[in-house]
Amino acid sequence: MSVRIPIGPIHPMLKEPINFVFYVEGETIVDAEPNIGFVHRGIEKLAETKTWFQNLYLLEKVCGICSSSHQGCYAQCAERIFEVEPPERALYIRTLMWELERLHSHLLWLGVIMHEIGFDTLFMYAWRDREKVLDLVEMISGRRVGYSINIIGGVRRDISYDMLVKAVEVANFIAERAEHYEKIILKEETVINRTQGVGYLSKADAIRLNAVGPTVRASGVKRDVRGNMPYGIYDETPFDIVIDDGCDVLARIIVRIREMVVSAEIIKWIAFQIPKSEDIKLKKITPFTKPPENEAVSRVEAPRGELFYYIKSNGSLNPERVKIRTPTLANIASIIHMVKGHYIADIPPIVAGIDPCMSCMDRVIIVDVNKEKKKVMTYDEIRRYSIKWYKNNYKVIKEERR
Amino acid sequence: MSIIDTLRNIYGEKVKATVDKYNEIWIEIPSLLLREVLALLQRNGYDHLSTITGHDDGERIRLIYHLIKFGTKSTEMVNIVTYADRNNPVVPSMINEYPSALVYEREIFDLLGVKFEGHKGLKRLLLPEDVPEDFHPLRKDFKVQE
Repeated sequence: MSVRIPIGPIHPMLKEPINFVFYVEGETIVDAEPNIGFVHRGIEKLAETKTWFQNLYLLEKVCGICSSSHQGCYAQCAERIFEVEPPERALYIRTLMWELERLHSHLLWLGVIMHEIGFDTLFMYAWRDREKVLDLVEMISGRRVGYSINIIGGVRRDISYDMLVKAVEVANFIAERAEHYEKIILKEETVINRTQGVGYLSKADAIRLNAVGPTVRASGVKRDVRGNMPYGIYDETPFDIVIDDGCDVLARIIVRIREMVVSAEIIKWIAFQIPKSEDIKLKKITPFTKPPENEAVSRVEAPRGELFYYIKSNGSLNPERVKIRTPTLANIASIIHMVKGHYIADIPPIVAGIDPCMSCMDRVIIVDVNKEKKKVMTYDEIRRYSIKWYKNNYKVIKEERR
Repeated sequence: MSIIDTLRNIYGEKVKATVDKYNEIWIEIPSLLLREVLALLQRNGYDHLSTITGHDDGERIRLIYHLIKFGTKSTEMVNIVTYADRNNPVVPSMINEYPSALVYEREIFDLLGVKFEGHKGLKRLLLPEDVPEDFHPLRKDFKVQE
């Protein structure tokens, strides 16, 4: 038995620990300091000891929600190292999985952010709708999460006519629901009061801090790997990059909801355009194929933003170096900037706003600068505290934000 | 004028550049020029630092800065490659040009032991703070205990 030592990148996604220290004056946050590294698993070092095909299943487990983005990004990078192009039908299937993943990830996030601000009805509805997507994903790949659909040089499994029909059904259903949620959220005062003007990140700051994904797009910056640096079949796919000028948490909600509609459109386009062919993987790439000495970079737009892989090969069966940069790490700098000047009660929506690992923030330490007193609150406590605080101070805040 | 020509005009033979099949530009520069070249790229619109990759090739520490220039029509991707001495790796910090380098430089300091001159909060990012000072797991001579 080999012992696995903790080395590698951190993925502060759902259900993983991250620690923040907030410095507050009264109710206002003056500084914040995130501490990460609690679930460091040494994946980058481990990847150097596994073969190219074993790594497909290792790197998929970097993240549970966007497993297909990680695996797809790795497979794409490995294909660049092997200098091969996968068959077209495989690219369509890959893209279909990426978009389905975006749908269910955004629905999960919508539920989470609504739960943070105490709007649990929408949380229940969003997660109910997510089940439809997960059922479809299970029908296509055999699993609800961690679909393992990508291999180097294609995909593992073909897609049938019935699955495509179901995909169109699900896409129509989700698009309809997303439009419904957008209508509700823009009218519902409880949502607007808790999110409008909260977590402000100006356009210049978003660019300066290199924010990625829906966070940067909600600040009115048109940056999307799918549109700017097309991969897979995105250069043929007709779609719009969703942006919003709100720069706050409300804008991040709206951007993600509209992205669901766009994703549904892409899924329908794929279902009608997918080329008929038996060819879904390259026969010449086997688990024992050695790549040339090479290095490559690959970027994918994961649901949370730009996902980055760099791989170097030395011509053997194992990669020499695998570098992973997840979108949450890129957005950490933005969180520190966004919370400054806001109230303690705004921490949950702001931190949830970038779609990080929510429960990873299992513990928040609040340091009162004037009293130099430390108080440790669990995440659940701070959530309840924030809902109560807004109830009491509702009118004052409403006046202030006008 | 492309960025490769601009750099060649200023630095001549010190800059080695190639473009791969996927439109990624790879530029190799000596580490003394790092701050100058990255500041120049920042002024030329390469404002997005995807990440910094650190890699120990056995003789030197190889650092790659992955930059993007977003445009309305086309997007350019530049990878700046530089080397640091393996026994005493010191390179200038880029946090003034790219604030997002704050966490990336800490990660490389943590896992490869590269010191970034000018980075004020340079401490371990992922590993616990009480591990020995020369504990850098991504170095090639670091052996995983059986």
